[in-house]
Amino acid sequence: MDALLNPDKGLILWTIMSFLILVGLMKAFAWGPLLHAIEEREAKMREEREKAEAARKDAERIARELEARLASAADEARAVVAKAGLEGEALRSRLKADAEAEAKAMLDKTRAQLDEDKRRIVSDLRKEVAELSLAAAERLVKKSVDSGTQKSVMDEFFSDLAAGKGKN
Amino acid sequence: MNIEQVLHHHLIDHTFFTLFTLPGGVAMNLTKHLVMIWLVSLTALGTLTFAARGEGQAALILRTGVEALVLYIRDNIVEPLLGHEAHRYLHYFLTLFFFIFFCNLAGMLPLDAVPGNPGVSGTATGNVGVTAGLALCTLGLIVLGGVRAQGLLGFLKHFAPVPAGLPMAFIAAPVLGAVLFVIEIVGLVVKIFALTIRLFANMIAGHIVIIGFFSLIFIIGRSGVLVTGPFALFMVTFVNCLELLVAFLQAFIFTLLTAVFVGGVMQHH
Repeated sequence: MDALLNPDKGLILWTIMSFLILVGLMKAFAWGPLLHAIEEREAKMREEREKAEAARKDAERIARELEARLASAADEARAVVAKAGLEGEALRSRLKADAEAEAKAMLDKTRAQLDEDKRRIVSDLRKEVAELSLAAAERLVKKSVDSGTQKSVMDEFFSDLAAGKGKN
Repeated sequence: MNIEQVLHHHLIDHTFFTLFTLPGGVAMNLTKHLVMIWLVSLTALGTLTFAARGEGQAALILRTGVEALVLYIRDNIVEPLLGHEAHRYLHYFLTLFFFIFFCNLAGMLPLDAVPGNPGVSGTATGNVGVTAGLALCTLGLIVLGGVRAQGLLGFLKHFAPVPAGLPMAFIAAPVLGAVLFVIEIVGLVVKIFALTIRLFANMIAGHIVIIGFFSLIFIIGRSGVLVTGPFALFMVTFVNCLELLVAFLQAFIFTLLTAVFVGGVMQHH
């Protein structure tokens, strides 16, 4: 059994030669194509992963932009609502002021009209009273007077009337 | 035929004839293990070439399996240990693993039973000459890888890793360097020797155990204990299953240790 533990030098050399030749042949025929295919596939997977990563980043960026736009739109909407509220308030105040001014003007105008009417009626009444008094006086004195005398008598009458009114 | 003859027939290499003799007197014989090496090499080359280049369902299935092993060896052994130099030596390690694995498996085939076989059988990796040849290839790769990675001087310095800043450095460094150099060289030889013996012993041990169990049939069975036959058959089947595991494991260990040794000399201290 010594042969079991005594290496054959020839076999050692044969093994080395055979194995090294096998390494060369395997590199050329088996590992070359196989490793090339594996590397190609890995490169493709890496590329796909990078693409997916880029797409994910793009999607995240777009989502962020949309969120920003939404936030901006919400701000704008709030500003528009606030502005509309202010404008509405201003319009309401203006309309109220206008209405109040118009009402006051109408009231003033009506008051003036009433005063005017009152004065005119009073004047007409005075004339009527004067004419009636003159007619009554003419009948009393049985004589007619000219218009100048009539006017002076009337003025005197009214003066006395006014004086009498003042006394009363 | 006694047990020694059985062992001799199954475990010892058999020379068919001498092909030629080298000038130093080394006979280059054609032996049964050499023929097994060539047959296994051709089978491995054919199978793996078919896996790499073949088309069709069978090639696809084979390629999937081979790729799993290739990726495992690349990602878990060669790349972590050899770093950026891995791609230069990857095909060597792959060939080493599959060659040993195929040799180990071929040793389990009952080729003796094939009619007309002139005696070509056996586990080539159960021959110390074959494992020594493979270990010497590892030694060559250690030297080649080390010199390529660090240059000749850097590679030699690797064998005398004297730390800087020693007291009386002018005396201590050369002495320590010389001692370490001797230790490292011895360590390298031991590594190669251990590689040789580990694979050889593991592969031959299973065969010896199997022959031992078969022998029980003739030794104990002769005295009328008939249960020996089924027991031996069960144990032989069990050990054969174990041998399948060992065939893979030893190929893996040899490849892993080769990568560890080669990676070790490529690292800068």
